[in-house]
Amino acid sequence: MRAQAHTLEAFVAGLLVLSGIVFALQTTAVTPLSASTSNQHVGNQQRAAALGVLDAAEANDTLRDTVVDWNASEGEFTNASDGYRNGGPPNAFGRALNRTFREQRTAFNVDLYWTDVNGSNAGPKPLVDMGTPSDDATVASRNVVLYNDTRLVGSPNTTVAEARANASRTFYAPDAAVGQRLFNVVEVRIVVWRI
Amino acid sequence: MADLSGDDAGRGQLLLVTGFAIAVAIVALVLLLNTAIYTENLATRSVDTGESDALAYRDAVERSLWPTVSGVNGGDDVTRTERVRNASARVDRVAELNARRHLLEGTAATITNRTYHDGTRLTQTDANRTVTPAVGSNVDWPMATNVDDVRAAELNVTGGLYSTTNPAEAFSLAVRNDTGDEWRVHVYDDSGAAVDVTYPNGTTTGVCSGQFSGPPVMNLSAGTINGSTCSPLAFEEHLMPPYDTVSVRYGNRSTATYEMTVNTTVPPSDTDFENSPSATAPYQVPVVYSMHADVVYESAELTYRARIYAGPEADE
Repeated sequence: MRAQAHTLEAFVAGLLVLSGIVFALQTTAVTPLSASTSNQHVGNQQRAAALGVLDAAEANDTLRDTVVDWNASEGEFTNASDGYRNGGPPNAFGRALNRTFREQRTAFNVDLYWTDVNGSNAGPKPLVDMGTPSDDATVASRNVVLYNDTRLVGSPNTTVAEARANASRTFYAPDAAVGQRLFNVVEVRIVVWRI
Repeated sequence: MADLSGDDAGRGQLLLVTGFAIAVAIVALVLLLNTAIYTENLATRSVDTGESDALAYRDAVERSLWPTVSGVNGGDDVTRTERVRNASARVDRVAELNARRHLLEGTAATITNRTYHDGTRLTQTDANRTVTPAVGSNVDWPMATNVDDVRAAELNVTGGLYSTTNPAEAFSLAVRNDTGDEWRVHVYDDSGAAVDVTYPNGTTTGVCSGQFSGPPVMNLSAGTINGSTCSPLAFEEHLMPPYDTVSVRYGNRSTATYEMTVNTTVPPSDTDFENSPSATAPYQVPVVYSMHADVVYESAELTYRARIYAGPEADE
């Protein structure tokens, strides 16, 4: 009887130790902010939401308005000093971002990338800077095409080409297609992560 | 104090072991559950092959292509080869700039298989000239045949109008489509300039009188006369494309300047239009009318190819 109990006890103890180790190994990967399969769903949803915001903004042209919401006399985005810090820019695209992410306690950065005169990649120009993304951040991006005669939303009497020509307060992107109507293609990249 | 060395001790040990067994069972259950969640996550993970990126690339290219390419049609003294070469350079740049961010992800995105559709811009700039061919004395003559499409058609009648009450005797410009339907605008002097429009084949009549003063300046694509709308003038609304002929009747009974772009290269007669810009005679200029191209997007998971159209209006 006692030997039987000891044997059983040994088995159970062994199993317990083993399963404890296995469980511990698995649970270490499931912290809320670490990249893991358990929060893959959330990542997928955030990416889909970011793409949705970008698609909507692209369809109603507010994405382009945001990219050229540039104050030519300040040499900065309208009412911003080196990007916006605590939410989207004060326009339709920014409001969509705030409604989609900030109100859900989700942080986001919006960075702009473009092509330099010599054909190399340039950027980022931070449009929205809410901090350093965590490991599980997701990314979505869209291209915005600018023409030489695209007017700045922040300074309606100025085109992007004219704003670029202003040496002291220059527009961030250069004319990457000199002699053509095409000016540059700006990539709007949203990085989303939970806080 | 309880006796721990008798039968009760063995029972207590068994109880302890049972307790352990239940604990193990619970842990095993939790493990199983965790594994189930893990499996579900793997199974339902988005199978994102980047199709939205491919579509976004196509959309961006499709939208930016014509605003970029149309710039090559400026200026009059340019050969067709030069136009196409310029257009090609612009398409290259559009493709390159749009593809840049996809390249970083190991994706090749290009615009290939480009077809440029030849167009011709017909122009007369001499306000004192009648609407007759550059050479010869034809007054009833076809400006262009097999045109397929006509755009940016403007007719600016400057004077010399025939005084009549019968539009059939007056200067008129007609567009005829492939099925034989005809739209025609008559301009004449009936105690002041009068503009009558008939379509198709004269069954319906539109009049733009009272909507303008002075010599009529007509935009036949937008349907305006001296800047105000006269919808019968917009022949595209009344005549189904593709078009066949643009022709003039009694071209000697009006002086006018005009400009229109037709989707064809061949003039009915070599002598109707000068081949280089002229201040006194009507002339033709080669232009790129529109284009088709393949957008190709190739990533490790996805190969996408779509035929796109770039032109001033929707593809037909």
